[in-house]
Amino acid sequence: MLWLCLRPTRLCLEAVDAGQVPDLAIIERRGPRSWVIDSRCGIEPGTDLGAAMALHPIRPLARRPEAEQESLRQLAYLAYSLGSPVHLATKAPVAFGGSVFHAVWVEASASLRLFGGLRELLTATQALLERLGLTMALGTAPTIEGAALAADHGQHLRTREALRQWLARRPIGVLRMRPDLLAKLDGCGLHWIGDLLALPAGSLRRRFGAELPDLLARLTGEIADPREPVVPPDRFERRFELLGGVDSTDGLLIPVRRLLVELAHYLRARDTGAAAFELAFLHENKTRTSVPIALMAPTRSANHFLLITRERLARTTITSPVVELFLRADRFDAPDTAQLDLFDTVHQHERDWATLLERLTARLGKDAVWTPGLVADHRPEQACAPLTPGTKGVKASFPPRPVWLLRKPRPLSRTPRLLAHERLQGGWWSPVDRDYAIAQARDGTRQWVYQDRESGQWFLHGLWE
Amino acid sequence: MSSAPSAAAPRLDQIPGIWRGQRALRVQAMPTGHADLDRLLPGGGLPCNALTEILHPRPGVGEMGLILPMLGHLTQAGSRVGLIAPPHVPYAPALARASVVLPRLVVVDPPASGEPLWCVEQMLRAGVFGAIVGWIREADMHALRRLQLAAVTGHTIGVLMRPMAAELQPSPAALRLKLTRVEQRLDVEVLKARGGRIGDHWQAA
Repeated sequence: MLWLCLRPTRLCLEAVDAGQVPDLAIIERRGPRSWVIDSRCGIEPGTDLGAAMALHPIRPLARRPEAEQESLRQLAYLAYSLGSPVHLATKAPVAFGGSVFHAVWVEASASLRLFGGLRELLTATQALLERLGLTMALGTAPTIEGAALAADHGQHLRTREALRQWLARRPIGVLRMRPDLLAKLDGCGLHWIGDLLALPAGSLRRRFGAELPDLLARLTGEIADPREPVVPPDRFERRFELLGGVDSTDGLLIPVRRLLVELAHYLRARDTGAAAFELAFLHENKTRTSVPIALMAPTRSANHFLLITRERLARTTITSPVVELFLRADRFDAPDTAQLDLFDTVHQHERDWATLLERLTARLGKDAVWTPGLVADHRPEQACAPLTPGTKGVKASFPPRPVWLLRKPRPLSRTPRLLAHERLQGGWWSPVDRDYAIAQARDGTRQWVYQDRESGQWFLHGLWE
Repeated sequence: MSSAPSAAAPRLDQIPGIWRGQRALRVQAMPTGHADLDRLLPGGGLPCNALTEILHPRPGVGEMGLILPMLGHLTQAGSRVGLIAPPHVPYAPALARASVVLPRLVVVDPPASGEPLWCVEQMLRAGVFGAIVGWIREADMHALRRLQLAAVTGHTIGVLMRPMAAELQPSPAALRLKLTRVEQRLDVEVLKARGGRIGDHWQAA
């Protein structure tokens, strides 16, 4: 067993704010007293709220355990791309001034060969975490509890023996235990974990209760530490509160990007892809804007999601500040995993084309991009149909036709000069009843004109050159 | 010491990027399909990987006739061709008669006024088109330079159909043609040609 522990050390702060609010401080309350858990302005965690307010004009915000839990779950999905199984844990502060403990563990011994060693695995982990926007401490150890402690100190311990030696030199204060128990141990002259490990478990249990020897045994791996693994749910639903409200699409891109990265990791953990998802905004005035986003093919690339979403958002106007973001995906499909080919230029070309087409339609709308196709219909307007780009119309042959067709025929003030023998006539069914002809303008260009048989009025309908 | 210049001479000759007056700039170009016109243009056609500006007084003077043979040729060779913000509907029956392979043709009708430039740039840059033809009314030097750069990056022929008013504006395009009607015929004047002669006229039959 080798557990890689990911400890998001500032999750209380980062789960509710992606950096928009400058003097934000997250506070926790225990009875009548509050203290600062974490802040953006350098106030020491654990400081009493009153003292902190006197130091700096902070904007206090109560801790949001459910937002933290949500972020932690996303981190757990990400961890599935490093190994399996994955566990997570949250521990609320034990006493006044304490900190919150969040951790995700992933069993990585089986992945070491895939990544090519521990160092490569850690590099890959760092690269994955970079885009998530969370401050992270990493540690590796053969036991779950040991890995959590190792993460606090950035240690990577491969064997139980190394772990035991490293633990022996740590003060007992690093163990997450009740402060009164720690004080009691300290009073007995037991200052180091090594002191505790040297004592027989039976006498520790008699004197200090079962909790301590049990923790030590799990820490050093003497007893097993079974836990429930994290299982990704059937659908992806993510909510993100924006503190203070955001009123520009550019400002939305930062949190949206974060959610899309999380979606990509969720899809990876489930080994699937999404071809559609829905982004929704809750505005300050309680209205809701929904932005459904459809892709050409299922994928799980965060960059691709972001590219398309950015174009789509550029078309969206935000009328009232957005206070909450939602991202939902519930239809999944396995993506076309491209086989890497040494001579893969044609496929790359087709993929580039699909990506470009998606960007264009996301920004301009579906109807703005089309391919002209033939239709076997003798009425001029119906003979040319806008088709999905790249598709083929029917096979039909036509007599000479103008290269430009005016969207709306333009009435002519006088009878045009018709070129001889070029008159086209068709039995147009009602209400269209027209005689078409090729006419020549004064500058010599040819025009496609018609006379409405009912009114006798001439219209310009096409330009030849 | 006296032998140093003669020893250096062949080496200078080998350095690429040193321009020597006698040799004409080699331009890679795509024939327009009008043989007499191609003879006037450097490389014998519209420059590949660069921007061409075609100034014309209004749609329908012959600007499509000028490029249609090339578009037909490109689509038959398997390349895609994009038309961005055309002034009227590109009429499929006529295009098919000009042997354009219709499924390889993509038309983009951008809704807002600022969008055509964005589309042309994206499509030039993507490198998945053989040629991009964009109807651009307003574009400053900065925007045109971006397009020129995009054409180079994407290895795509970029053709901009522009109003006559753009004639006096400086342009980074490699080739600029001015279309007029003279005595009921189309007249093409070479306003600017990188690596070629300017001021030549060609009249369509």
